[in-house]
Amino acid sequence: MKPQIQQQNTNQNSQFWDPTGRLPNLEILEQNRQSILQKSQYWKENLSKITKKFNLIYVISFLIFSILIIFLQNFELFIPLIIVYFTIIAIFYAIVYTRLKSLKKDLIKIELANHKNWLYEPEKSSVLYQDYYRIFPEIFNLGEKFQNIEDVFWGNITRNSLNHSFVSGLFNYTYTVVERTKNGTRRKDVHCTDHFFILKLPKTISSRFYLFPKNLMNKFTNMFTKKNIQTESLEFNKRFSFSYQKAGNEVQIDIMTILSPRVIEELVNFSKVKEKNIFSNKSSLINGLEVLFTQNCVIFLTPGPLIEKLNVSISSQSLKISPEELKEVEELMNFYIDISTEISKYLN
Amino acid sequence: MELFLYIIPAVLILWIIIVYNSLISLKNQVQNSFSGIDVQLKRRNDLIPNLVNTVKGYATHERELFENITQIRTSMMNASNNSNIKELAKADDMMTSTLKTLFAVSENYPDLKANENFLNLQNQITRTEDQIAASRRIYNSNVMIFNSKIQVFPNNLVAQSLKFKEFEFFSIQESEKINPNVEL
Repeated sequence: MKPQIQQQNTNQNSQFWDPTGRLPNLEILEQNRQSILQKSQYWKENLSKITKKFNLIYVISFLIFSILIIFLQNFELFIPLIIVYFTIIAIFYAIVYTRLKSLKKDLIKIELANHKNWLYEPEKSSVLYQDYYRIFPEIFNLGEKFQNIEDVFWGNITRNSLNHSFVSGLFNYTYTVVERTKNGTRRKDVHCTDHFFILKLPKTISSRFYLFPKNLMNKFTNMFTKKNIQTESLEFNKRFSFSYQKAGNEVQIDIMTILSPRVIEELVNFSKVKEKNIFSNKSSLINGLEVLFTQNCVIFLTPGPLIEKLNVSISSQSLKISPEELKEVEELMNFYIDISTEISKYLN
Repeated sequence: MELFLYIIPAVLILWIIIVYNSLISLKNQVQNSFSGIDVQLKRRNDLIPNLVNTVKGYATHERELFENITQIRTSMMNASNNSNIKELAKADDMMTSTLKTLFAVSENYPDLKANENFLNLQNQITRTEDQIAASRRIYNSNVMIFNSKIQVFPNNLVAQSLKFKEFEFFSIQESEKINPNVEL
């Protein structure tokens, strides 16, 4: 993983903003963009050749082995042979499918960044993760290893006649679970991806505080730490727990002032949309919307990646992006932009 | 057997205490959300005299409209002092509607539309209107939770015997809606 965020203040990227105060190197972003485009071009041109070759080798080798088995009259080997061959074909197509899906996601995001005049970095960066973790430990303290940031957009958007800068991306992390098996215990790595969205606020807020989904455990600890703030909304109080560093009534008064009725309402609506479905297979350490209000920005962390569903088939046609697919991702981004700018508009 | 004679009343008393405490907590939160509306209404009421004075300087022929606003503001303050939710909701709706008329009227006065003070007040009032609407929704949602809680069985037994009453929603019925009669 290469460090891609470098100090650079060219005219082109100085219009963007990053909470670290450093902006991405445009040359590296362009190189990464070109690399994705080349890869997609390669797959578009060679996918049918690769699959044809694979199928041919697969069929010929299967026939050779079958003849060998018949020749040796060892028919018991037929079932293991079939199993091995089905496994190989499944692995091959799974790899191709995953590759195409990942490329398609990148292509859609590159297209969106072009269309909106945003910057886009498809590569994973553990350096950027370290920086974000240093500034926002409340949000980026998840996982035990392999933490990194990828698919980052740096953008500007005008809402309510105000220009807003934002950063949006994916936060990957891995944690280990211990599973009980018949032979004892087994350690298993679980890989997670959550989506974060950071909006620069038009004004500075006085207190730093963190909102996270309420559960039985933190309900109990809040009783002792006395950090449970009761806002005017029962629905909000039911959904969110508070965490803040400073002690005393002043912070609580500050928080109550910042959380105006419209902000409370927007956060409740946002949380309802992003509530993790307990029956889904999404692996994430968070159960719903998490929000950090800091001095000059607000950060939202939601379970799962930005694009969850994408239609991909094993054909070169699937790398073509339809206007509907682009619109769908644009709407996903607009959802975050609209809700966060609405919240920033009504912050007291 | 004798043990049950002690356990059953103890469990019953404990349950009554839990239900009573949760109802009190909910009631306090509903009242707290009502104060939220009150705070926003007061904020808007504080902005109105400035707005009226600014508009008066340009729109001298809109006397009836200014009188209407002053009258509604007074009735709103009275309703707020008496915690009369129905009257307050009615006055709030009338004020919202009258302010809309005032902003529509201001379109006829280009000098007023260009006045920075007026634009600033208009912006502040619009934002406060949004906050009032949100406060009302929050209050009504809280009232719904509280009212449901005291209506369901077996909570209704405790609520009735301890004289918990349903809260009124902060809204007025369609038939009660009065549009301010202002000629444009």
